[in-house]
Amino acid sequence: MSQTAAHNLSDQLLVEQVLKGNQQAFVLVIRQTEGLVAQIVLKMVRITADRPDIVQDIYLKAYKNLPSFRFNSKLSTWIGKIAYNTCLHYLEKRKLVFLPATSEEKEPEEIFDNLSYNRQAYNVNEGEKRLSSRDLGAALGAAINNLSPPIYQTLITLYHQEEMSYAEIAEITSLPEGTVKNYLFRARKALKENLLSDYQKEEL
Amino acid sequence: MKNHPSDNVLQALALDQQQVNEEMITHLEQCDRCREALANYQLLFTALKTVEKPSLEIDIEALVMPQLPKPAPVRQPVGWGNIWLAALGVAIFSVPLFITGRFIRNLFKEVPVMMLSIILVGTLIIVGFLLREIINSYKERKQLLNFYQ
Repeated sequence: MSQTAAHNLSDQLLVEQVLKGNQQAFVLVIRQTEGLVAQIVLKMVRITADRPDIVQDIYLKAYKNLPSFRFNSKLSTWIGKIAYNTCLHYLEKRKLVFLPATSEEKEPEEIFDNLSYNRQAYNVNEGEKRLSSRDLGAALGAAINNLSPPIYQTLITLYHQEEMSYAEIAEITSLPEGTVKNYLFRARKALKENLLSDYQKEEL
Repeated sequence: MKNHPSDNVLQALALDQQQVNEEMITHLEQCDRCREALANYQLLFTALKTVEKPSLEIDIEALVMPQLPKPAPVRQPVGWGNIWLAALGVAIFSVPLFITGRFIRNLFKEVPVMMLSIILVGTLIIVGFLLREIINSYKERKQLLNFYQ
């Protein structure tokens, strides 16, 4: 049995039990998804005091809308989408910027289709410093939290820490898969450059 | 290879999402800049997996579970089979009553009204107690079933 099929089966059993009125099954749903929900909420909601209400809202929405879950994705992805939309709504209400401005956004194809090689050669004198694994561990958490726009932080976390696929992240964020790849490409590049710049500053 | 691989290609290489051709291998062997950039991405992606996952420090179960609405009792739909069964029960009871009704009436003709009333009330009280017993036992079993569900 493939991993996705096994996931679907256990998701189906859990959802059936919750719909039958077995609330203990919903406790299992919470335990299975709280890590993902925590990552999304922590990266999107900066005010600690607002987080409990948002988390409660996310799970109450999930419970209420569970009868409409059609198993087109994993249950965790579906709850991740609810978490993302709830946080996005919270940010919109407070007029906080989360996504990059549209003018900044290039077509994903511009980066991904025909860019196998740099048309512009590097300056030979501009050598790249090597990151040190010793310094990286401590600095990485802070460097992720400093990425801007903030959606880069969420995408880096979902892809590299939660190990979600581009398709799953696209499902959660309702962004086209190409845009997710594009943002992730820019986020990784910015992360590497920020770390290198911090590293060089420390050396001076 | 005259041009350097783009940053996008280097990221894909570090993620094992890009096939490496011989031209690229040769370039990476000769170009310190690209080799360093690739090594940095590989190091970064490995380190990202080891970053400790932050916790919300909230007891989500305690926060959410008391807020969930109580599940509505599931009502079994009345099927045609049940309706036919009820009709059959009524028929079995009422047909003999209709046939023997006259004899029964003659049977109680000689019994005084007072005595008949006492018998009837006594029977109804006993039936009432039995019904209450049945309903209580049904409720207990239902609670047990909900507990094990």
